[in-house]
Amino acid sequence: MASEPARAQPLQIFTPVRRAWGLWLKLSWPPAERFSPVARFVKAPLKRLRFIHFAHWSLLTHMPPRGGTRLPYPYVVFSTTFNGDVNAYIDAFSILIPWRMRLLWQGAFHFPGPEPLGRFRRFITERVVPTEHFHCAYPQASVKMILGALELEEELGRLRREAPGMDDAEFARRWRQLLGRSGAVL
Amino acid sequence: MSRHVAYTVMAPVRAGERDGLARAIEALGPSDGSPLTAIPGLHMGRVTLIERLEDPRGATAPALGPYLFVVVDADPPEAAVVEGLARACAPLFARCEGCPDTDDRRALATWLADHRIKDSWTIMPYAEHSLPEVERALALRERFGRFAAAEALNPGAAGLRDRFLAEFGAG
Repeated sequence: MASEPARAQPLQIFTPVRRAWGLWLKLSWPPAERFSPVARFVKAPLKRLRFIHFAHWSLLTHMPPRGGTRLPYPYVVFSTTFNGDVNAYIDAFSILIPWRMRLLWQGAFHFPGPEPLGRFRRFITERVVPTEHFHCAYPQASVKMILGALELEEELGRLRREAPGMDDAEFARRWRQLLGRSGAVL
Repeated sequence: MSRHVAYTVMAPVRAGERDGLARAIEALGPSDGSPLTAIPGLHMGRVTLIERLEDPRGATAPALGPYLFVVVDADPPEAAVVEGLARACAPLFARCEGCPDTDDRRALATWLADHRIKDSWTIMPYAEHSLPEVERALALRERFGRFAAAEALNPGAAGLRDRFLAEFGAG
């Protein structure tokens, strides 16, 4: 298993943005992170993609970040771990959530917009800083597998609780339902 | 209380230490034996050497690099994450500007807090699940797959319910 290529891939980019844009991000991120209806609305399409393990956006303005010297530009720091091909990952952001990409990077220097795809892909890939060392506790598990396994665990638990009260026919029906639902995650 | 700790550290590399840091990162070895596993409940971790941050207006700004960049995603409590991070990456932090004696864990924790970049916006679809929960679910998924495959060889066989309960236990 260890010799197989890891499914999870890390990626990070550091993008200088105009100072006014940094202010916009500072004001707009808290409600998009903490105010549930907004957070759900903004994040739902990304979560539905089921290929992002973790994605973090933050703004770096000083070095050291706390109490340090102000940098000449604020930097959007984007670090993520995802499954699959990097180009497909970037294209998915462009195609599915173009306006959210604008809300994040419109004020970045040289930002070409989320479309056309090729230019946005180049904007990201040219700024990728290679990862020197990476560890994942479950390297062979995709996000889809993990979310599917967590859902399956709930369903199996429900069936275990209810099974003693079922006759064979009822159990067989529920088993087929479970197989049908879980087929995609196996 | 949050079920997830994302801890990102970015620190300037001390003058003359860039090559030594690169060697120290290389010495962390392959992912399987990563010292980052000293962090309890670690889902994922990475270490990166940033040679230079992009300067969109040319070389007028002071040097923007090199930096050490470390990101970990782990289970709480945060204090245990910081302690594990300090233990795992002490040889790396020691090559950064202003890093105290790495044996002085309290001073190192303060230094790490000063160099922490706090998340502003995140996507973490299973962050409410701890590492043991994720590992348990993945193991159960494997067991379920094997059980379903065995049952598929003999569809409609009597006693499915009893075999299911024997395999997965009654609730």
